[in-house]
Amino acid sequence: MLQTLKKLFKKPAKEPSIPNNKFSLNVDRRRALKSLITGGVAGAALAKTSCSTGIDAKTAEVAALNWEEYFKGNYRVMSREERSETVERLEKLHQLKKGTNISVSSAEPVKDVLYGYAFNVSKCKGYMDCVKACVAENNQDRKTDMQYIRIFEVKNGDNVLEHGNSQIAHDVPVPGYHYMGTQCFQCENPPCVDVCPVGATWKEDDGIVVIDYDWCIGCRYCEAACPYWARRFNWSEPEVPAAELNENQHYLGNRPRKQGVMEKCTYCIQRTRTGQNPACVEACPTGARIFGNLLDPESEIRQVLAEKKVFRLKEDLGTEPKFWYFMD
Amino acid sequence: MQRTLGIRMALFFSFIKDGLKSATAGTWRYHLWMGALSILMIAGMLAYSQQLRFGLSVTGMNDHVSWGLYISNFTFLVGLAAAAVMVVLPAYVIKDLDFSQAVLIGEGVAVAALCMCLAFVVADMGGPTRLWHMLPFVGYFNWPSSMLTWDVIVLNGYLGLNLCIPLYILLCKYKGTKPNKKYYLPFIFLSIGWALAIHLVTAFLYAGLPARPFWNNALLGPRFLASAFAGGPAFIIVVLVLIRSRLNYKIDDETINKLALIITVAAQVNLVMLGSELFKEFYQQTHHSISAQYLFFGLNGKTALVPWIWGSIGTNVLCTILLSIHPIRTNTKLLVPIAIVLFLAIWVDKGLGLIIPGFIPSPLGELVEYTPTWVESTVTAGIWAMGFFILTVLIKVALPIEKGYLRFRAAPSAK
Amino acid sequence: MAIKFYQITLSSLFVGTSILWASGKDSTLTQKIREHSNKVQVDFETNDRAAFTGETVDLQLGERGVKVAARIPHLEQYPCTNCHGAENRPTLTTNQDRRSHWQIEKTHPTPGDAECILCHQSNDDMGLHSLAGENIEFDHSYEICAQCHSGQFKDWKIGAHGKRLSGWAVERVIQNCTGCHNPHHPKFKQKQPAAHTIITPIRK
Repeated sequence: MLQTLKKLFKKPAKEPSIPNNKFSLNVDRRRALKSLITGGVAGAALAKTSCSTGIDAKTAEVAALNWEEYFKGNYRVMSREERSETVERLEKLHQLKKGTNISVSSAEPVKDVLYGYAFNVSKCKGYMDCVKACVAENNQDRKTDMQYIRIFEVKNGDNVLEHGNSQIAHDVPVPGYHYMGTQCFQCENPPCVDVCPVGATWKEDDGIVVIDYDWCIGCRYCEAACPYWARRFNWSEPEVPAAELNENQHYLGNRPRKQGVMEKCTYCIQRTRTGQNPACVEACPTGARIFGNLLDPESEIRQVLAEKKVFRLKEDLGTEPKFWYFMD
Repeated sequence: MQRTLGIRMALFFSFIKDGLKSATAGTWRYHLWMGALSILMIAGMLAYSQQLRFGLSVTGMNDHVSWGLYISNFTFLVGLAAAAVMVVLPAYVIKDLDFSQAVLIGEGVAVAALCMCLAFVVADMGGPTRLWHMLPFVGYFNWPSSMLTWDVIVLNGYLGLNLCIPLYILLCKYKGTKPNKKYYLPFIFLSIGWALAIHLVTAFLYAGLPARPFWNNALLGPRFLASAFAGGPAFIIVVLVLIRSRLNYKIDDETINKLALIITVAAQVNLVMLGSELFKEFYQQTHHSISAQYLFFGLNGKTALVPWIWGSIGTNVLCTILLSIHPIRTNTKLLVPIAIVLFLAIWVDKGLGLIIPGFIPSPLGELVEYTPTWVESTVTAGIWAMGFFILTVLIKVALPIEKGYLRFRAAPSAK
Repeated sequence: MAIKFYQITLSSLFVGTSILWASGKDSTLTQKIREHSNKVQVDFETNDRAAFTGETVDLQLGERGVKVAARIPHLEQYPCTNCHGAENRPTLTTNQDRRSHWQIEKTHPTPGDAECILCHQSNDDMGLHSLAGENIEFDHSYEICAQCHSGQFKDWKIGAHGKRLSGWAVERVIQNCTGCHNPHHPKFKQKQPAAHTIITPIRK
């Protein structure tokens, strides 16, 4: 009985490079479904095209790529080859549709790394350079002013973030107030991962909680489950001006999203997996943000955790966020 | 009795054909009713097309209140579906013959309610074309981790049960044979436990989120059941009374009275649970009570839901008191309006009064209120119309068979 | 009774799978960090942009090798001979339209101009000096700040104060004190936030 129960579990493949028979089987079934539908549609399309004046090659190629993209599986369980194929398709699609080149990375987590983040409440002055840099780096929707980072102006002596004001439209810092920023804390026990019905969000080995934007069905259960209001939904088609598009992208990070999918801070996965700091860390003019590898005993983040009095938000919920606050 | 596949197919198709004939024939009032429902359904589809084109930004939902009218209705309707068990249970388990007339109608209500639930869920999805991602083996079905996957299983299973059992019984009666208890009785018992499961699982969807202290309590599941068993049979009573008067189908007063008694007890239990919740939230107010504070008293001048919840509770209490009085409960002329009002009160309490406050304030303390847009209201109306449409069709097919008018006439050569 | 059997089966199935699922959850974060912290060397291909490309100096008064961004390349009025003669007292050799030293806005340590010589050499040496009179180069001006701000200095060395200029995976280069703080007016100024937040997405 236990065996049967365990067989019902579906654990994602830890090593995507090793092809797993179980998932090959899934691919076969999906490919079978795809071929059936392709056959049916091809028949209909054949009848249609024989009557039409002819489709140009570009539209046909875009359609073919979109077709492949629609039927691909969950990135979480894809093999390395499938991941390379999908990022190639995305780059090609962008090239065909927009005429510019982007590079979409499928870089895997760096070994023996667990990202940690610390925020110095004494240092933050509410300048919000982090917010501006984040929006530019992550190709967020400009139409709805989507921002992953929220800065709260909290009155001294209060220190309850929920009593803070996030609508800051005056010069900062204001005397008598301090500033605290929130974003996705990349929890070690993420409640959003547990509730996703299709497994479109998961925690990677380097600790980043990621989303496969093409797999998400938009039910927003994860948005309800997040205790830190870290997740954002694309209520309409996101727009990024072509001139402002960041072309260095990662499949799980800042590649352009679409209407009806979730997104959130990924600690700038496209940067951190190549050794850079997240955009917010780099942009902060006061040095209030500290980032590094929790598994390196000599990293700045570990030193901060050892020497400073740190706290996390909503510690009692057991989410184990990898984002600490401290003061001088 | 050996029946060839050909005869079975002929039987089934004849059943469908006769059913359609029955469903499309009726008085001018019937056609007016179906016509009005159809118009509402078309309006709903048109509104939904706006949603597909422009995304969910055409609704009143946002990153703060990310579930709104659709999920409110979904939550309430799962309760309505589960309430069918309150008709099935006495009929088969306690073998109370008074209920046997109402059983098929109760199951019809369950089917209609479940179809509405599924429609609301699909309407709420950001990416409905990607729903196939939930299929096991072809997609990624995150069971047992995600409560939504449990909900998908139990809801579809319950729909299957409530379609197959009446279908079998009706087909047998249509044929003129007696349905075999050996075949359907185990599934009846399964459906009784299953009905409790669907509503508990739906409650667990919300109760399992520590991020939302308004929902994260142990009483949510039992409260759901109590309010379902108060509001659901109320709806069934109204349907039964309508059928009795309009469709010339005999339903004993005893059936109605016993259903009314079930409603009364459930409504009383519901109020006790409500009292318990109010005590917990307001005796010693912690930060966890802030959503309850918003709902009942408003926060920082935002009081949109306050009149709704007090109206709901007020009418709920009034109806419960009235129902507790025997002469009122047994008087059908008074019972029907009370049942309707109770149904609406529970709709507000369990729908808007449960889902929306869970999001206000946000986990970071921001206060954003919710107002549904015309798109949401129209789609909701369309889906409700669809539910009534399905219910009407089911009743219109089932009752003639029950009454014995509609029977299978096999071709002479088949015998 | 038949109902009881089904209910017991279903509920025990539910509880059993929940327990099995819960037991597979990760251990706490501190356990994880403790167990996997042996590896310090992270060896992978990093981005060119991760490294700091400016000049650096080695941190003195520090424990392990830490690089500090050099200050001299960014100094405007340095060396002094850019404007003044090489001899004793200042005679402007060039007609530079520069502010005179006494026009520098100074609020630190206290407003006033008698304290310039607290940090600056008053003789013809070009450098800074400690309170004890030892010479300090401009590139190592943090040693002056450390005299009074020992708490911030300690924090700066470990990374809790100040800013890291290189990526997390490459050699650590930190900003020197004057990279963020004007030594004569070190407090951060008030200004408009760089971004504006709307509370929730605007409806179309």
